[in-house]
Amino acid sequence: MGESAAIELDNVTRIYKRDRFEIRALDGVTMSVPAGRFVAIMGPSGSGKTTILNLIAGIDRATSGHVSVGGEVVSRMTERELAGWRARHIGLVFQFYNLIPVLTAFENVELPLLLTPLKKSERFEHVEAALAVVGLADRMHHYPRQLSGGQEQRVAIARAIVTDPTIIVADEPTGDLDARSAEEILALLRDLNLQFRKTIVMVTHDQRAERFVESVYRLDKGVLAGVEPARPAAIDAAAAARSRVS
Amino acid sequence: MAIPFKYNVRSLLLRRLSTAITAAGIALVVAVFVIVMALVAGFGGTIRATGSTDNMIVLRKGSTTETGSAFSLSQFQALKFLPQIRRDADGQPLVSPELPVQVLMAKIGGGRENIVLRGVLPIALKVHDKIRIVQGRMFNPSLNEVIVGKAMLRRYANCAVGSSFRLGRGTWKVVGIFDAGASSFDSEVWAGLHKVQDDTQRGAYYASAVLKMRPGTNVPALISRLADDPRIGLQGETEPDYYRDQSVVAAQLRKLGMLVAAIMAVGAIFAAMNTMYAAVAARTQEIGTLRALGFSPSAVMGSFLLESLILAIAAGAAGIVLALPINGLSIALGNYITFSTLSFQFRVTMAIVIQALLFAALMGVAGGFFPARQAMKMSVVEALRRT
Ligand SMILES: Nc1ncnc2c1ncn2[C@@H]1O[C@H](COP(=O)(O)OP(=O)(O)OP(=O)(O)O)[C@@H](O)[C@H]1O
Ligand SMILES: [Mg+2]
Repeated sequence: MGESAAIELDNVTRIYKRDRFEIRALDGVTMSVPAGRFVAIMGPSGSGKTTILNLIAGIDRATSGHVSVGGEVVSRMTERELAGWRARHIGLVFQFYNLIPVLTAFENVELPLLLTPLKKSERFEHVEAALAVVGLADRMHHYPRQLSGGQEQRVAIARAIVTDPTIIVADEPTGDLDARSAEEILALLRDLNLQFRKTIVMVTHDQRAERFVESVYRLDKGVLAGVEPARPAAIDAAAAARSRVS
Repeated sequence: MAIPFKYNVRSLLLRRLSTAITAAGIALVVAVFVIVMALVAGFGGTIRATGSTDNMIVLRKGSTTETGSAFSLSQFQALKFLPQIRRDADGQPLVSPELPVQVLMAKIGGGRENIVLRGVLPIALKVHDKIRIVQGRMFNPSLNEVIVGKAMLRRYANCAVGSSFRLGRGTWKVVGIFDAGASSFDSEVWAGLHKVQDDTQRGAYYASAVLKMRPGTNVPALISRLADDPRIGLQGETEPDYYRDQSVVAAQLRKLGMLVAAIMAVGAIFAAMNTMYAAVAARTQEIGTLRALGFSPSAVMGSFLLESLILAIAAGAAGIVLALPINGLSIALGNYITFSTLSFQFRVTMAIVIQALLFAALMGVAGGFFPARQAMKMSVVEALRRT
């Protein structure tokens, strides 16, 4: 596996201004995530996890410092450039799935493809393939309310991978799920990482996640407190899974 | 590519109640608009259809209506042979002395109403060349016979050919029905001039004379001649000018209708705005998600504007359907100038339908603009934080 960095943050600070208060959500964070890794960001509530993810995804902008993703300096792009870049390179997964309730599973997954030049028949193939990867090809005409939480999150993951982005960012993807569904989602993300070599950055409170990821970045009060390599068990599991795949 | 259309349609259907209430408001406004415009179109059409450009109506000086006019036989004799008046094949001048009088006529289903009984000579049909007898025959001027305008049949009793009715002091037999091309003559009863004079018991006088001008007549010169000739001393006006005064009423009616529609529209716009603001607020997270996926701010704005437009146009269409049954419905209005009853039909024209849809669309855009702009200006991070 190549160790070139997929994501690099260099002395990144993000300050939110609320009325006369200033909130330092991130304070001089420097970190990098190698390409093809599945990593977790953990830390107490309010420590800046979502903020980091938003900066990596190009949804938010750093107050100072540089953010580069896939070799491109995201922090220098205009709002417009960012929107197009996001659509091509980033897959987003949220805690509450964020599916559009009035669109079917198929239509939700198709949404990001509407921003590409793909023809309708090509879009159909891509959507079908993405839903097959998450194991929901038979549910494509169902609306979100007709699916369980775990299934909704799978649809959201299909939406995140349908454009074949290099990087997936997930903000507490198991935060709203029961234990079994959570494990399934974590396993699915690990499979995406192993099979399709996606770089995945996942914010989580979920202790189970440590068994699936390769490293854990610990945040505290907007500061990177440390990076821990994954536990041996996770490494073994990853190795076992990898050999199964290849 | 834009955010798909079905997203908006289904979102509207999801918020069934608020969509329905707002749509009902817009539909109502559009229905009122259509009804008023159809009334104006019917009424205005009737006024416009009355009169020919080569006809001149002659009244006593200072009169604005036939009802307030009267002149003598000798005055009429003096004008009858003016060279500007066209002649028929037999050399008869095409000038029609007339005596319209207000009489009460029995309505179908009871009650009586003022209508015009117009005393004319047979020459009248040559002067009023748009008028045709469509059933029966012309009256015999020396008998108590009448012909009846076709708009009367829907509203008044005993108007069929062969029936008789009382009008004024006499009893009249209907011998024919005439079609005056949806003009106000369609709401009149015509009888022999001398029979009408006898009936009014006010002696031999005329209220007006209508003459057909030769082609190329100098109209102002003819008007001065009528006024200045000491034997005549009457006032002439072309029929279009004369009836234009009456169509002022149609124009005023239209203005009033537009004002009412505009006031109601303001209410409907606020309702639409309220609905769309609520939609934007309720779907903040969806907006954040769409933006995060890469849809542009303008795509979001366009989507919400489209949604408001879909709502308004659908409601507008419903309003038109709601108002459509009045098409062809006949109505009688007091004519404020002649004080007789003018019967005409509501006319929902294609132009009115298109105007109504545009009006609805305008309400949709006006109501949707600010909420859509708010959706566009939302910060993605803020929108996503809202759960
Ligand atoms: N848009 C914003 N406006 C103002 N303050 C913000 C904004 N976004 C984040 N913050 C503040 O920045 C800090 C970090 O927020 P962030 O959402 O990144 O925390 P987090 O680690 O994701 O927390 P949680 O585990 O609760 O999701 C918090 O104090 C939060 O209140
Ligand atoms: Mg968070």
